[in-house]
Amino acid sequence: MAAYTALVTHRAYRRTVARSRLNAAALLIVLALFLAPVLWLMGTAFKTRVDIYSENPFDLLFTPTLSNFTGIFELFEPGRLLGNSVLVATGTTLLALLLGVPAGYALARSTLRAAPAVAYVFLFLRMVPPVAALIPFYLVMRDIGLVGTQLALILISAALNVGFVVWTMYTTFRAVPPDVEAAAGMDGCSRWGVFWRIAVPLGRSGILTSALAVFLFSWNDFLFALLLTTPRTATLPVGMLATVGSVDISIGQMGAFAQIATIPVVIVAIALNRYMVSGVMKGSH
Amino acid sequence: MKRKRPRRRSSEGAPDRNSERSTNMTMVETMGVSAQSTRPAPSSRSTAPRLRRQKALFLLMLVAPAVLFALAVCVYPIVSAFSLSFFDYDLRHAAVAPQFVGLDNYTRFLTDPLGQQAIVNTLTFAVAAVAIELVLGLAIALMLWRDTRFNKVVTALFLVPVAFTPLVGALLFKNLYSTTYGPLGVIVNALAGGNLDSLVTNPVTAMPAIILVDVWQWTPLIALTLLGGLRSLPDEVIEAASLDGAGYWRRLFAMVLPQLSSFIFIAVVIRTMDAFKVFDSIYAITGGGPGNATTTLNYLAFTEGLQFFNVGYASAISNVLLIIIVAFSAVYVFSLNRLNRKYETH
Repeated sequence: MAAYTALVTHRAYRRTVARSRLNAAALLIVLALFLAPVLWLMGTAFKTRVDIYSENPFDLLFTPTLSNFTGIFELFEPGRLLGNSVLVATGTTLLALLLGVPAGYALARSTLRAAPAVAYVFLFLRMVPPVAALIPFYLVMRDIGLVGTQLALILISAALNVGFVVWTMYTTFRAVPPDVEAAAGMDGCSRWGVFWRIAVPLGRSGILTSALAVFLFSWNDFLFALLLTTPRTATLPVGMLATVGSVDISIGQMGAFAQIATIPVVIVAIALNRYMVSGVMKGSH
Repeated sequence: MKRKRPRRRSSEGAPDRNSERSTNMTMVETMGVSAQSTRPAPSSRSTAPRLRRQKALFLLMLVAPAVLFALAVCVYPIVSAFSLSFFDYDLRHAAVAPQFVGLDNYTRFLTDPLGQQAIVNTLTFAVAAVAIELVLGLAIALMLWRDTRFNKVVTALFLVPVAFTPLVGALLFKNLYSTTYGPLGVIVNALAGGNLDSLVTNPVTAMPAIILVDVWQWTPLIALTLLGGLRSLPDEVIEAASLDGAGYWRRLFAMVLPQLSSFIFIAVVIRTMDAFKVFDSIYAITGGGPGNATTTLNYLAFTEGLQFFNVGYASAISNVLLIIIVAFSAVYVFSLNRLNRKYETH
């Protein structure tokens, strides 16, 4: 009887192992499909024009070349574009956090009945289609002479993202029990000190989530940058658009460009993956 | 996606205020005791409201900058777009003052074949993309459910498309679709008998090509959101569902999916709202064509307003989009609110 039970358990165990191996294999195939486009692009960055436009796009045996990377430095100014992207994304993130974190805290700690409603309004602001606000915003920026500056881009990106930061911080601080803060208050901490030294450190996961999501949206934004920048202030996505449609430029150079534009951000996103999902889902455009 | 709140929403009003008053009173009393030797204890009756006022002022100070900023840079343009939509306002004729035309822009948009096609295209795109993403995303989430080291690595790698700059992704797919050197285009062309010029200039394949970009980029996000939902299920559901053998599908549909329904719902609503706003891939890949086969509302509003500078008409289009999205976000916020209450009572 014991032998029989052992046999059954053994069979069940083997079935479980087989099933989980099948599962892992299927998972790898799906993952490969999702990563294949990116890998292809990275590959083309090291291919010569002849290799890229050859008859067989599946040829994996090619002699790598760095000519595409040197080529984009001759044709474009990747350094300037990168600098602009870093400036705009950092500025947007800082402004959105500076405004959003205190507001989220205040709404979470307020006992007013209207506080949750205000938080929901901020959440709603995040869902507004950018194009609805873009035309009048463009007109205002044109009137005060800010079109073509990084500041205009930072202002509108921060405005559309601040709602998301407020909402995330509101939910984060609601989950922090107020007792800790009350205790600090009794120890003689000022209200500002309670916020800055107690609440902000306790809410750091929410802050990191919002910072990562806002930075990513601002970095990846194309619509605002397309409209509000000049060649001097263009960000990476707008600059990359210039690689399309010109005979002098091949997909190889686009691939080389794309590596500068996306790989660093993708690596950061993977490294901080546990903060990514909730952030992007709540705040996505 | 689950938002925990320490308190029940319904108890936010009066009871909370009482508990706060009691903490304030203890604070006052402690202070009073320690300061007794130098000055008389302040009467708690006058100090408690003052402290409460101070606290309210402090919180107001924290929230005001964000509110003012959002009002100036976000709400004002939206309201302004709303009013612009009732005017005939063409930026190319800046000398001509905007003329009030009532609902003309809206009737023109809704009776224009291009406008109608943009609505149909937007809905087609959103429904198809989100449906495919949901089915695929759910399958991936179920495959990733078991919490192993292998799955953790795979989960992180699935973030690559999500973090990828959408415009770069669009340019990448545009090249993949080439029937001369793009792997995807070559395969499809071979399957179709080799007479396709390009996938993006063909009216039959253009829309699926745009949808595929969206599916590639956002399916992983739905998968990871639903995975978060699966991980938060009660233990007995997880145990029952992880048992192997016959009846896996029945258990999946009877136990797991109903428990997961709120996460599925939220993922679908958010993704649908985003899909309505698709822009980058259309701008970079098809430019709304061939013909107007991939012209969506967002793209149409952009071209009308910011390329043809027909600001009044473009505002009307973006307002139609806004109304659709507001309806969706109202459903979302309402159900989020209910969901929060459900979790709080547990």
